[in-house]
Amino acid sequence: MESKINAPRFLVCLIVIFQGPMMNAQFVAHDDSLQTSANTDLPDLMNRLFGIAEGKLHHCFFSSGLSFYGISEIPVIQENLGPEEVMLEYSLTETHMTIFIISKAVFSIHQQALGPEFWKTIAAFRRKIRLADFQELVSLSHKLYLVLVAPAKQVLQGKKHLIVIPGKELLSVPFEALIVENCMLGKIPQFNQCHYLILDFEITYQFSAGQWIEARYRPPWSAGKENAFPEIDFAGFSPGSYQNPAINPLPFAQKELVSIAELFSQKGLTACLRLEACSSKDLFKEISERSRIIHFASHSHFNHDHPEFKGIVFWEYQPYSGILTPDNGILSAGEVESLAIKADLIVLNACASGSVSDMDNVRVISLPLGFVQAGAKNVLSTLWNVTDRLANEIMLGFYRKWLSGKTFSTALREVKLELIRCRETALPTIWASYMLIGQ
Amino acid sequence: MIQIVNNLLNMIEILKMAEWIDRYNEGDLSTIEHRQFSEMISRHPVLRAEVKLDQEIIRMIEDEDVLELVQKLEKIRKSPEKSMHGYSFLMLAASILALTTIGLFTLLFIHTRDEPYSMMARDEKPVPARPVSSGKTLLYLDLSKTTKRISPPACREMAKNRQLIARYQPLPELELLIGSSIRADAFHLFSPKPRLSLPGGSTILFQWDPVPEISNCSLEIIDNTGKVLSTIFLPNGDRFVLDTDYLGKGLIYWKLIMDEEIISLGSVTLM
Repeated sequence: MESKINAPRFLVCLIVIFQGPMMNAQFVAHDDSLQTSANTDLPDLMNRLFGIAEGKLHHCFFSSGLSFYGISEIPVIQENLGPEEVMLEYSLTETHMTIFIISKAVFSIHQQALGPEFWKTIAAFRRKIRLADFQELVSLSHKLYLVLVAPAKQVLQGKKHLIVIPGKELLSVPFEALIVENCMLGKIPQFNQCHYLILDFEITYQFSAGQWIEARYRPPWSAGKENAFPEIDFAGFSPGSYQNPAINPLPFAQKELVSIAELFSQKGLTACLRLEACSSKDLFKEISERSRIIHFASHSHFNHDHPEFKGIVFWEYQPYSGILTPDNGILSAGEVESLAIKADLIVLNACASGSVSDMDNVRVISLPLGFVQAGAKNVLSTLWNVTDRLANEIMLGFYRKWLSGKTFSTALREVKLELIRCRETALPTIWASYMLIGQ
Repeated sequence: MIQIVNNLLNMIEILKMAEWIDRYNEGDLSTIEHRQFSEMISRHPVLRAEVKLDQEIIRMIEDEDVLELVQKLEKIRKSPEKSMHGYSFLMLAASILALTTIGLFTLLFIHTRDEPYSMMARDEKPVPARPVSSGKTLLYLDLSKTTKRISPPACREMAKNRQLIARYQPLPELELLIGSSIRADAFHLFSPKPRLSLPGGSTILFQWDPVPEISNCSLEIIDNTGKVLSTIFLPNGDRFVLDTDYLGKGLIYWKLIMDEEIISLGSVTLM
């Protein structure tokens, strides 16, 4: 089932009510007087669009089963999309997948049935890419491209920027590494010769379309005049070595911060580094509100029994102290949500800092989501484990490019393309872990 | 003296022959050349064996992914500037060979101005050679002599050596992941060192800090083409001894995996 609406001004809105399986979705044409413009007051706009009094937009994709999707946001999305941007929003149930394909001029819905094979492919792809397992990686990646992106091929023609709203199930799939054409050349795939999706598009992610819109309306960073303390362009946190000697030191993490701070100072920007014992959670909270970029280069912590304590590790972290408490040196997603962050960018350069874990069937734990809800405009995180040395090199490249005037997404894409060109770093395990959530 | 000259010329013939076989197998021959060479192959079983052996070598090289290296060498060979650097030794050798040949020819012509020099050794029966056109020049190949010099066992030995060398070639895709700590707190591996060289059949001790949170830990052994040779689920505790007896010689990689994440990666060269 596919419906396509081509309209420069999309005045007739649709309300789609999903009841159980997607095939039973009702498409109701609905004449709405809602006309939006970029000047609309944000809270008012949110209230009108979503009927949510406090402007909380986390309404769509992190719920399952019987759910309501407000497609009335489509015209607002279209208004905010650039001429070269396309948004792909995914909604998955066990048996069906719906892709909302939205560009400035086109809105189309693609729906297809999913069999167990799809879920097996997703699981195998995730596993192989994070474990640097060559066997079948190329074919799995290509299969996923055909299912997830190829349906939008027509709309994607001539576009340069892809905004992916993956939903919970696809949040750990790096779309950048999907392979457009199969590239098996002999027994060992030539990873530097594969046609990855990132070669064609700049790719960013968002948790929901609502959050994407909200982030667009946030005021740009400006040096605060009302604050008593000076604003910081770059705040970096890295213990390097930890209070507890049992934790592996990360020599490259500190080098990373020092080198980045040098780059900032060369451009006349302020950088504040919190190293060793100064890399504490309290000191982070102290400067989090007045930092434009907050960068963590540390370990991440994950505990199967307590996913709520998953987070970034500070100097005072004590891993084996028995019961975990919020004061044990871990910055968790729940803690972050309560902060007021104005940062343009949060970098979580630690292992699997962007991975999502289920609390139950409805709620999820995600550190980037916590930062987005706290007000961060962009979050750069990792989907799986990264090595200390490569994490340092990738980030240095990223900041060099950003400081030369590129956007965050362009800078990240260019670093990845450089890695792809070289055979030693072309394996997606090395570069596809980094994911930019935001604008 | 004549014997030395004969040997030198035989060597040149052998080299020419080898070049023809290479060109034939690489598809570099023109249509006419190809037809003529095919005829020769069909008539000379020894040449046929040589061609087949060369094909096998190429296939083995391809299998071991050394083709890339060969192509690079080919590129260098075709580019005159580059070949000056890469093949200076060969050029020097060729110059000495050419000078010696010219010198010997001169000596021969001075001392024995009897009959034109024959490519055949005097005690051998002449075999009529078929002209093979190569652009403007005509090459006369004496197959009865040349093919004797490239003995199949020697080539097989060469192929075997190449195959052995290929087993020690590092896999570039994994090399950068070796040895660097990961940015997750859960695991501290004491042993082995990230890069090890050991005699084949040695044992490798894997030892880590006992952590209560460790679960689903496995060790994956990979060869230098990325093929997974074995996956071993690690027992509870703080150590594991890997017996490399079954792995043979060559370069292998190991990955320590916990909860579907790589927590450490290293390589072992088994000599």
